[in-house]
Amino acid sequence: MGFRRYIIRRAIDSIILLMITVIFNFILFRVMPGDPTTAILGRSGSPVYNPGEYRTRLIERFGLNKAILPFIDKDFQITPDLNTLIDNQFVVYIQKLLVGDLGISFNYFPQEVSYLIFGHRLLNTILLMGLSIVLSFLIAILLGTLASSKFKSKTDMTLIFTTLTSYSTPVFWIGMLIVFFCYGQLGILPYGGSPRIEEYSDLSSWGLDYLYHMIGPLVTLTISFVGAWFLIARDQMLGVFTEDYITTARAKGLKERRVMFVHARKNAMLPMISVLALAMTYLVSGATMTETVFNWNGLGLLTYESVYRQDYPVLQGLLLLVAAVAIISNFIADLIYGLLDPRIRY
Amino acid sequence: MTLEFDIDVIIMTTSTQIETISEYLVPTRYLRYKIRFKRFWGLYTDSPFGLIGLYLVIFFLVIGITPQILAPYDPNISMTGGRNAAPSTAHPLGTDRIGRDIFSQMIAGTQISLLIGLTAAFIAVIIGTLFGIVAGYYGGWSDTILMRLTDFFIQLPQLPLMLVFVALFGPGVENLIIIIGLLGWTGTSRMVRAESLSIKERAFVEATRAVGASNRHIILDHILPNVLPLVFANMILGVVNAIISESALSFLGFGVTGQWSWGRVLYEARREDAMITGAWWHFIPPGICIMLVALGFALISFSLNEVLNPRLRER
Amino acid sequence: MILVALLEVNDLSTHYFLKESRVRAVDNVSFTVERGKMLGLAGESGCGKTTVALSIIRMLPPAGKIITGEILLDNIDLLKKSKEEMRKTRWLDVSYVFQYAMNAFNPVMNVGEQITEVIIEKGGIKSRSIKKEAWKQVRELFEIVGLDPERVKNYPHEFSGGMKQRAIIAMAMACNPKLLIADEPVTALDVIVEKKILNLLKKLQKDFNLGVIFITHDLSVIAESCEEVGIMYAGKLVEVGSATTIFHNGAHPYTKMLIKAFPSILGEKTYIEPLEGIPPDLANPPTGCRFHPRCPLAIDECKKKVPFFKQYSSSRHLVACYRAGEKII
Repeated sequence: MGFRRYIIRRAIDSIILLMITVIFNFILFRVMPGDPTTAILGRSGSPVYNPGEYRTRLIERFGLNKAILPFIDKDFQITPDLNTLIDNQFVVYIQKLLVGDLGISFNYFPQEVSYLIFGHRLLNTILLMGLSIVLSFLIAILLGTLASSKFKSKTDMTLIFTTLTSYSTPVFWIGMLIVFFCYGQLGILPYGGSPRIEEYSDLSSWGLDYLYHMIGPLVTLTISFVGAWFLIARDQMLGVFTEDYITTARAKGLKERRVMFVHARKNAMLPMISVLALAMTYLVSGATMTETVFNWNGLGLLTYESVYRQDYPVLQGLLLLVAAVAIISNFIADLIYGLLDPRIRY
Repeated sequence: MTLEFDIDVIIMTTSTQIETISEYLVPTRYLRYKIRFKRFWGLYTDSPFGLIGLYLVIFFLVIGITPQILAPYDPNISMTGGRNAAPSTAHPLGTDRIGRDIFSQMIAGTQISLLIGLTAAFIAVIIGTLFGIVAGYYGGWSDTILMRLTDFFIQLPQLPLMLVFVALFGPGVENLIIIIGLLGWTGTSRMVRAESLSIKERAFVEATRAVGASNRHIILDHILPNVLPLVFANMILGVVNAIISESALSFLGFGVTGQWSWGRVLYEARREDAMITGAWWHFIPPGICIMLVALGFALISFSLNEVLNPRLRER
Repeated sequence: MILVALLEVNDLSTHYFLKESRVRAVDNVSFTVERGKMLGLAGESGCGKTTVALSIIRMLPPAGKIITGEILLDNIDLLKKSKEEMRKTRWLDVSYVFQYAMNAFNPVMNVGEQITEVIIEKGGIKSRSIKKEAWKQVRELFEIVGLDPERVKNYPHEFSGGMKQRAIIAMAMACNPKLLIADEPVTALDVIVEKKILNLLKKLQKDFNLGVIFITHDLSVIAESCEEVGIMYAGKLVEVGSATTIFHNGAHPYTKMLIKAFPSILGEKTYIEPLEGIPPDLANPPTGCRFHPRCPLAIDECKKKVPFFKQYSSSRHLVACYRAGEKII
């Protein structure tokens, strides 16, 4: 049937896109200006007794001339001839990537990038983002349905104004307000941080404290996501309500509940799937702003640290992960789309 | 598509309608524009949102144009009034840790925040329009490639990507404008593509092509004027995103450094732990300013969308 | 036993309340539909035909309000029913074929599902056997309207335009309604398919003793299939009568002009006279007869007083005009 061909076509598209991403990621971190070793030596604050020797060690450890960064040879000079090196580097880069080696972090030397990313940070981010995405998605759809069924009423207008306001508010500032009121003034929430399981005697006490710390960032993110998604949900429902088949369904004398939930919702959900697919990337990219404000030790905070410390290997790894998840979740969204909407399969 | 007259609307409208028809029949360009504008304005002011947005934006634009007149002090110079001072008549929003006047920083920040927001959105919209028209009008390979590219960029979360670029190319106002502009074109490109696709198929474009008009002529004379309202609405929404992105990057310390922006005021506030010390005057006003100006643009965009989106108008 | 008409519309007025104005889309319209007969409602776009139809099933857009009148279906006033009662009446007694045949089916549900759902809903009880029975009925319906019963599980996009229209008619017949309202059911179809669909409607009307209101702007379609004809102009019904009377002995100047404006394929070549002018603005309709600004026969009386329906050539031929039957020079 057409459906199989549709899947295959999408899969090929996704694989091509994935390859382009890998190449793009390789190039991006090689066109930047400046000399990374200087950045490390200048920033890390390590006691540098002998800069020359330290550089040699850096290059040995990181493989700066091969796997990570170009332009530098053994004498720490910027090489004018790029071509041979780039070829060589690209091969090494791909080889290492295939065995899951993303290099070694500058900042958390000598930890590996893959260890930094695929550890408790990823878990923290997935838990926080997953929960807030699900919560916001449900709230947005509920409010969107409510607003569209009372088109242009007071409820509708109030909801629009409120969500536009939250859309216009920087998410980190909402976080700052929560810290200010709930920690600084009232003292009902912790300042921040994400409790690690190793520091607790049993699972339940960790779980409770974890959730307690999660309230602040969770509320912040939910306010901001609902602001972004409400109008989309409302618009979709409105669009569907004006469709002819909805009029027909009503003329058929079906119960209004059936019209809303079977005929309208099914169609309005289709575009919302793309929204959800987009949100999947947040699962791994994390919310840099919110995590920074609340000191939530996830991938978003890692991104911030890595930019701050110019930890290129980690940034490269993060970017690759995010892009890969983006492509894969888009592919899955296409599949669901194809299953739900029979027209797409052709 | 949107500001054209359609006979249905004429038939089923208001009491001023007879007048409208007679005016419409007079083939004066000026009158036509006047009627179009009247109609547009009527729809735009249908809800109070559009006007509220306009007032908010005008208010901040006025402040942004004249910071030198409005700011009581130089935002970079330490005052004699003391450090970390609470609001007083001399310093309406207090002073920071080295005694600089926060109110003056806010006024100076208005200009930079608006400048970055507007120019970045402008760049984004130009790239998006270009890509959209090329993809939609020419179709074929250019369409496939450009739309794949657009899909990919839409997928990537913006802020981490911006951060990577900032890490690679460094902070500063110019870099921020370029980075935010370069990453914000995707929405416009998709919308413009869809619109030019549909305009391309319309009878009047077919007719123009039939009499031998060049592609350039069709794009400049028919496609572009018809997508412009949409592009404009998109740019307004782009301003919201650009202003918020700027504030986020500056807040992290990777954005505006030498000059003042609202984001940088927030960065300084967090450095001083203003949330914990209770110095609300340091971080609440800049946040409210960002919120209000972004809300102003968002409300304008919403109201424009009400006018431009025929689906919503039908109801 | 007194024979009552299937549908009796008396003095119906439906207005749209817009922001600054009130559009009198339908004003004091009365007509009847007999069992097993087809009434054609004709007129220019925007004359209120669809509003009449929507008033009958009470599915007007939010701005539309029924001001006066009664709509008696089997002597029961539909306007007095509660919302819930009306919902139950829809499709059970009155079904509706909408103008936009192409989009009347939900694209993400298969066609059979959309027909069974209404059978099950109107049947009242839900059980597995009822469901099975409903699917069986759908297959039979498909056969009746000339579709392959094997295709009940197809999605709407897998049907051609003509097939979709047949499926919609099958859906309209699903609960054995007494009255079928068909709003421009063939406008979007090509002539050959149009003919087939018209024949199908005609056959169903006879076989099931169905009352049909057929709305169209195409007089030739009406001439072909309707027993009764009503001509509407600017929210008013100006003339009703049997099809032959209207086409051969039409008395209202508008009727005459409308007929003249349509070409006849088989008849001799004559000059087609287009209707001059545009229909009036229904927010500020002209005083008196609404047709007087465009009427070649208008006299002072027409501008002052609204003409009432009067019997003309027979008891079933009614015209609202002071100068009915007079020749247009």
